[in-house]
Amino acid sequence: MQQELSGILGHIDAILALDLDGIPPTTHVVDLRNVLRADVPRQSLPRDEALREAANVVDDCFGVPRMD
Amino acid sequence: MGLRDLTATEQVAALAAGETSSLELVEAHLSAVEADDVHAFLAIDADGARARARAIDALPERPPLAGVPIGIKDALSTRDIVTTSGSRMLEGYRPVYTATCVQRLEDAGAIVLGKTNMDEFAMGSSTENSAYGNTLNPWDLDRVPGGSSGGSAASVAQRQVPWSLGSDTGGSIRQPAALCGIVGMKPTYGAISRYGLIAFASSLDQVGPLARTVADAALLLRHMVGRDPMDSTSLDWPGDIDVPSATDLQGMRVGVVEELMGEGVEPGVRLAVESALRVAEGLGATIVPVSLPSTLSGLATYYVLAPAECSSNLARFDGIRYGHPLPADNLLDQYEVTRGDLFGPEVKRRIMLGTFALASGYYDQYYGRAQRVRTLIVREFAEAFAEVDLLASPTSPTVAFPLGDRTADPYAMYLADVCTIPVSLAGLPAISIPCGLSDGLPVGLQLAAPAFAENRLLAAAHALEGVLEFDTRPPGLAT
Repeated sequence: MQQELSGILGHIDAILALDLDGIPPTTHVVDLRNVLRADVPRQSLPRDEALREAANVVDDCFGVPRMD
Repeated sequence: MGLRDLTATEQVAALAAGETSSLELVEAHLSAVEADDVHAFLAIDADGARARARAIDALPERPPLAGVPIGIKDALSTRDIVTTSGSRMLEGYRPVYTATCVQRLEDAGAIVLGKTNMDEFAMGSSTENSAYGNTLNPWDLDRVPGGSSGGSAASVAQRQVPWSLGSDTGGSIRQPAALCGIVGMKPTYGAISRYGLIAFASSLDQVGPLARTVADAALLLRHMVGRDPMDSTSLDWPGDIDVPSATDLQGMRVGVVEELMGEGVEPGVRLAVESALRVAEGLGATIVPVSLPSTLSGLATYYVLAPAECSSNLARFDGIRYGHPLPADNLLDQYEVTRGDLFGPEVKRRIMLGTFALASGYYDQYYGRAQRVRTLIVREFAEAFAEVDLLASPTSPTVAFPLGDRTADPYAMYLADVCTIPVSLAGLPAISIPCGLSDGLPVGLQLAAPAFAENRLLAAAHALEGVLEFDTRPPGLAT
């Protein structure tokens, strides 16, 4: 895996040679800013459905092993 | 000619004329889906499809796509139908909601027969990265169908379904469509809601149609586009998607991207594409060479940006809220064993590449620079489209390659998308249509257009298709 990743990075390094002075970054091709919805409450996913696919449900919550 | 030989448009007409029923159509296609000679399907919803067909047949008024079967890429969530995105991480996962684009097609009467095979989390160009076995190319069972929407492409070529949905991040609709001899289209970024599409690289992912004709692709697209409150990047669609009827290219200026016709493109592919361009000229188009030098950096740019976005998107997969966590004594160990065991090698490779590109100290060098190269690519396309109406290139530099040929060399696999990636980075619409054969295998012609010029793109592709008269039936497929 390490060799593969080094090989891929070797090809990617081609972008290091480009002259990018004064070129701004593109994060997104659609010119959208602050898309907001009306501040109106609406129903969310019911809890039993949200928990339906979980392997371990504890007290109506997702169960996980201890954290330490 | 059997029911499976009808295009989707012909099936709509046959249903409207009372010559067949939805149930008959569903049964005819289900038999091929269940036989699945090319392993195109991961899940089949036979009972659900039959029930829907009966319900639609009983309706007094038929919705526009009433009763026409469809296959859905396994990256799209379908309520109660197992959706894995080709990964063991989601083995047995049944979504609690349906993707907006699928819901819109179902509302229009389409009937989902099942979920199609794909590279794990849409990362790959051959469908060999699926955790559930590879799909075969109907044109040659020893070759790949392309990817990542390989199951969607093979199922349409094999006439298991008249059309299907795929998703395209760097070429995952167009490249398999080209390798399987069918039509595949990636619309303008934002045209179709991504709600319910399992995310790979969110600034690039788009859903789109695969079909045997351009008109079918247009019909499917028409029922999916438009704003969805559940995806803030989805856009209000200006006007309608027209089902194309153009028979010439009078007044159309088509630019041939020089950088995508040179080194690395197989001679047979170049010949077929050049011959299609002469056909375009015969239809009245003016063909001019166009240079887009930054497209040569497209592949490198993509393999920084897409892994960076995927490393963030795939952080959600831990087996806790869905999927299957592996046993461990504490939470961190559980994350590690679950993700370590259930992600395949290509997914791990990309998560690591992306994490590296975003790491403090490397961010400016890789992610920051790649975003700026993306700007150059966007600008070059915009400058080109000030001069021409469409851009043309091969869809894939090669025809379908043998199974196993590139699995040991990730970069060789990445090169399969060298012609499709630049358009994706610019967020533009593009279509691949079959334009001929090389060594008996299909070659795809890629046409790209400015954002929102889908109707122009579809009209030109339709006019060309009419003269190219490519026979989409794979030679081995029984009549």
